[in-house]
Amino acid sequence: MPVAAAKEERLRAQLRDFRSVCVGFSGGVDSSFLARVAVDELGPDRMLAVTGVSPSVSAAQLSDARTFAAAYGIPHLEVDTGEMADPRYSRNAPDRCFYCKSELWNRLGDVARVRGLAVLVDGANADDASDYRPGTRAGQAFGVRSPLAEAGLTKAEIRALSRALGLPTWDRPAAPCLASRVVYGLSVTPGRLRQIELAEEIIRSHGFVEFRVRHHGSVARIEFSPAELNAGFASADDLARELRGLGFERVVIDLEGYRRGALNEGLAVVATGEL
Amino acid sequence: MTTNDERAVRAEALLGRHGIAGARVVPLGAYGEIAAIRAPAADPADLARLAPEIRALGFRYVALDPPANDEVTP
Repeated sequence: MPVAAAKEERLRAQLRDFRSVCVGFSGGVDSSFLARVAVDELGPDRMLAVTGVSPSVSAAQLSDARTFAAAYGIPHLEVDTGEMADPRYSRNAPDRCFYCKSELWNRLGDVARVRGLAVLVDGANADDASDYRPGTRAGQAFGVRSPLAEAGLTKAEIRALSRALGLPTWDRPAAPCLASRVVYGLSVTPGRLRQIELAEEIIRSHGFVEFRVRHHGSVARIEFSPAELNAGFASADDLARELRGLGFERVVIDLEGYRRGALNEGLAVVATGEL
Repeated sequence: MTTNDERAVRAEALLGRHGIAGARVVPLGAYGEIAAIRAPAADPADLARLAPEIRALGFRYVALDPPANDEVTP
């Protein structure tokens, strides 16, 4: 049996052991695969996929989550989360994700208790341990399990298994929350999140697929994937004109392109207040 | 836009040494963490190759500053 298939069997066995689960469901590659396997193993009466809704979740992402759940018979609930009202979140220190995830899992814990679901689970995979993730610490405080990571499934393996299951998410680019685009130390506000969401919609309308708009206050810095970087350079003037219409004073194109966790490279700036 | 930022001055000199004459570098961002390079005659791929050296001068990010940023918005 191929390695990924063996890991999938381990995942399925673990979900059966859990007996019932409440899945933190963003509609992305990992949590979609997890929700699909969970409904497969446990049935729709013993699982629920829950999406936290706030200004940090784009309308496109929410739509993707709804469409996926409907297509695969996955019971789906949306709950409003109030992280924006927490100044420990909005001040946007490097531990921002801890407060966001604490709010999320607190809400999902309430849902699980009311619905009688035994275990909270998330879509963290085996690769996620390599990045700075204070949100993981929040999940641990709420007893959240990460069955994909516990089965040893990497992102590449989850994509391959999703493809084998015919899931449309198999090649979807990673889509972390909009707040992850705001440079640390600059407060997260609904207005800034909306600027990012609209800016990324504009760039997507130009045919780009994998990129990030990083919010640096009056400046938008666009990171394109290596495959799209030259096209991004060629479109720089057009994009600058359109994104400045959203309220940015300047729009620049990162010369090194998209790097996962790129804003974590700025942690020293926040910690010391100097470069 | 001109700058007295020492990092930017050194970045412009570095670009000049690599044959990219007349380039302008301006620190941008909430903390001056971005080196924004305006060099219309340069191939962005050449600038990209030099980005790590420019970052090492004290910037966190190195970016292309398109001329459209200086257009007056209606």
